[in-house]
Amino acid sequence: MTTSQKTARAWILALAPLAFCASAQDSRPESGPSGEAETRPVAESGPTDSRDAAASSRRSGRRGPRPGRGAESRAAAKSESRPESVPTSPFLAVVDGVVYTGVGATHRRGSVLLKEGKIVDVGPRVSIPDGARVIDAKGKHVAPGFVSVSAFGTFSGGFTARGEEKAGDEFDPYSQRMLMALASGVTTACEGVIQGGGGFFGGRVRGARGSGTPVGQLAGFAGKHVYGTVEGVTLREGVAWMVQYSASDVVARGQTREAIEKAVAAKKRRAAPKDKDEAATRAETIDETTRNWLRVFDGELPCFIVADDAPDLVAVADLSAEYDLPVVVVGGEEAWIQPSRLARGRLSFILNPRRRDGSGGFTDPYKGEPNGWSVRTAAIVGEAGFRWCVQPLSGAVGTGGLMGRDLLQLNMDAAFTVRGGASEADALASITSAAARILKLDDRVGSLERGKDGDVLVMDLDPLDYRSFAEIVIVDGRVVYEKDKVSFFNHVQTDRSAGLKGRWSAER
Amino acid sequence: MTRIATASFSKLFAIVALTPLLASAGAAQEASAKAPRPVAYKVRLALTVSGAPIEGAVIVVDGDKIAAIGKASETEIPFGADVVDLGDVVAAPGFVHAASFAFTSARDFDGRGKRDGGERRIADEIAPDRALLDRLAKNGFTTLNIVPPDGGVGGRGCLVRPVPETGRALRPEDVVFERDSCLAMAFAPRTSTKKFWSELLKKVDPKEAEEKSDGAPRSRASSSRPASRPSSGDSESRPTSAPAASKAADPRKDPKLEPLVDVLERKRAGLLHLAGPAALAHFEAILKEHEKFRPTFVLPPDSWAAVDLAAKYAKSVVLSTSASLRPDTYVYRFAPLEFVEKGVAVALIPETSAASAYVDYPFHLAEAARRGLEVDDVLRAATLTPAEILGVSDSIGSLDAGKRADVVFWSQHPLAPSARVVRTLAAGAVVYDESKEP
Repeated sequence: MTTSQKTARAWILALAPLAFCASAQDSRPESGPSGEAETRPVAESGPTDSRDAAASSRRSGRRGPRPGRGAESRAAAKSESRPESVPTSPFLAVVDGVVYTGVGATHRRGSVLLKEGKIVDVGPRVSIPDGARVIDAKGKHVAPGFVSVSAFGTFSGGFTARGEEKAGDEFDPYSQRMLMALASGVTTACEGVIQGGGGFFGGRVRGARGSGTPVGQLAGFAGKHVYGTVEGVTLREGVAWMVQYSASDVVARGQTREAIEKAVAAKKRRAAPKDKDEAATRAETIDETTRNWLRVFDGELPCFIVADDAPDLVAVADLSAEYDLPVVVVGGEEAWIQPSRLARGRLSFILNPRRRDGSGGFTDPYKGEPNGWSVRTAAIVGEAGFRWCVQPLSGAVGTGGLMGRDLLQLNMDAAFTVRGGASEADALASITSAAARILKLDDRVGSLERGKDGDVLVMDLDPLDYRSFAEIVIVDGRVVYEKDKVSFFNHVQTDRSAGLKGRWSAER
Repeated sequence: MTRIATASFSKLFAIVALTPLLASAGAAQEASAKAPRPVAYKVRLALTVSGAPIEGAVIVVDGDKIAAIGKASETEIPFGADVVDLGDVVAAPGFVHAASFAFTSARDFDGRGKRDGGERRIADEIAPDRALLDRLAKNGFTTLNIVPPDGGVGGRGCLVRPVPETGRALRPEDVVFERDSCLAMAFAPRTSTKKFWSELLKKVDPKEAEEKSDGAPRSRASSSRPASRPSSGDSESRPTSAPAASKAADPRKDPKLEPLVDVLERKRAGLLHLAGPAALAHFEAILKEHEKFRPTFVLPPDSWAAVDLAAKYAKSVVLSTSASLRPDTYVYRFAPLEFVEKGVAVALIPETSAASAYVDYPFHLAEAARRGLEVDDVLRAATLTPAEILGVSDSIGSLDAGKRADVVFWSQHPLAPSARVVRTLAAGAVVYDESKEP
């Protein structure tokens, strides 16, 4: 048995009891490597969900092979006696891969141990409990699930949450877009905050509840791509406090300041109440807007302000400095011009590394007009000490639209910042831990650390490599996507370990 | 329920019987209107659905019922019966539509509403339409379960069947033969609809909700009322001697809740329209909470995604004959096949309630067979299974002695591509006859 066969066998054994995407099973690659072909039917005949074991056993079996799937179905039927040996340990381990923690450290040969959906251990010396299900990641790259600050439609097609209606109560756990996002390694996403993320949408914020107001508006839904279940999807209803603030709109700036002054006053009163009762009374009388501003000051809620032009950026930095207000700048196209000036404010940035349109108005990209864009923006912003993360040109996933610059290639946006001088560690952080920190979701997601959610990617190459694919995606300790079993990318079968001298060149 | 059915039926039959019947096979049908004689139909093949097909069969129809069915050589044709030899035709039970919006004003129904219409009867609201009724008969339908097209608790469905020409405008009572066939409900995932359902079921099924929500501290004091409804003052003052009575009596007294109680006690068919697989995933929490609430799901074509979940909570489902294209991948999935493979009984219905859907229905059934369902299963899914879901399989759904004479005579096997309906009997009356068509 070759190594690759062994690896394949180990994976299959590990995955048999897990929940495969139900929808994934219709599509099989017609000829994979021989080891995989041999063992695949075993995996598919196992119970689709270990929690369902009782339910599936009472269901009456199929009465005959499905037409058109003869040989494969029979192979599957033959091996149906296997599941007794399926381990039922609560532990799932991804072992012996190159483990990127997302917060700097990389373990050249490390493992990640998950229990009940959470990470219990990670590093080069993880002891794997007996009976744990094991995914052998030897020669693979293991990364935290990607966090996208903008996504469009991955939770459902018609996203109408408003008023008392919550997105977490109506999203579609079987959404194909969600599966596509998982295929791109995105396990956490925010919907309804920054839908377009620039490009076609002009870089302006478009929320499910509008584009923000001068006094602030709560928008968006942050959730996890827990394919096939409704449990554990919601990270936060109301992701960001959207504020419109620009150098040119004096009236709006006045409104913003007024709202902030009110919150600052409330903060002071809150800090020094005469007695408990008064504190309670005051808490009640605080209006919704002020309460959200207070959450921003307390660091619970990110305040998003769209700013691309240098004057706008300076205005936002000044505002931030004046009130000691943490602000997330969305866009930041010309942030490279005066980073030291901006450093006055408590800013962090959501950048569009591969965007090159004019900010504030349309400029023809083919005429070579200056438009404020720099490939070095991320590197410069990082050098100035700001935290930054990236968003793709379009937050949508699909087979139409922008190829290579939408959510399907979020890691390419991160990789592009490396071209401009950012470090690879920062680039990976920009789609994992930094994005989670900026969204205030870092208590749950964004890194491979003890106590965090078990959102793990097993990739064939470095996450920032343009050739890399997510091969296995784990969310909350459940395997929700496998490249070979879903028809999005399973036709791309090259020997990745051989780099460009893989199958394609060999065939020529 | 039964009483109402019988009453309205006999009334209807009087109308049918008094009307000069459309002569269909010459002298055979022109029997005396007052005392119709039995008719023995001879066919090449009878697909009974409940049992094996009968070659060279004779079906004796007496009044509105099948008096006898069997091989021609073994079945006694009663004295004085008219014998109609239809020759090379195949007899099958009429199709039963488990959940139709025909004769109602359903537009873009998505189940998002929160109607609380337990006492509502759609039988009082339908507008029967002769053209559609004839089309139904022409395409082999003999029973339609009409359901209210509203979200939440839509109301009670009714059973409708084609009737011969009466010479005047149709009234609901002409076609409705069962005013109270099921309770129709619908759910689409929303915060508000989830809340609606969870509160509604707590009223009907309080005990379970209480046990689930919290156990020990309240169980003694408030066994007769739901834990989450502290405002029910009267049950507080009531002596504790009759907790069981108050438990059962409360929801039953409310005409809005009564049919829902019947559904929980399995005395009444409950149809729950779910807007999609996501709706089922979101509804699961409510199903877990109320173990007695196990309605039949009516699911759209993309429900294959939630087949495991559905199989956990339902023995039978209602599905349309459509296959659904998996977005972005160009892979077709056929939900009925996937449900049958999981051991769930499937009742098939046309893709929509539009008149055109009924015309194509036999063709779509054949397509279901091409997509992998067994031919016999397809036929059962269109006849006996829906009758079972609606709890009327003792009177319709198959060709058996004693059942209502809802018989469709086809030129070939009904799933054959060129099969035509030659004649349709609904409750013994000829409602379609090919030879009389212009």
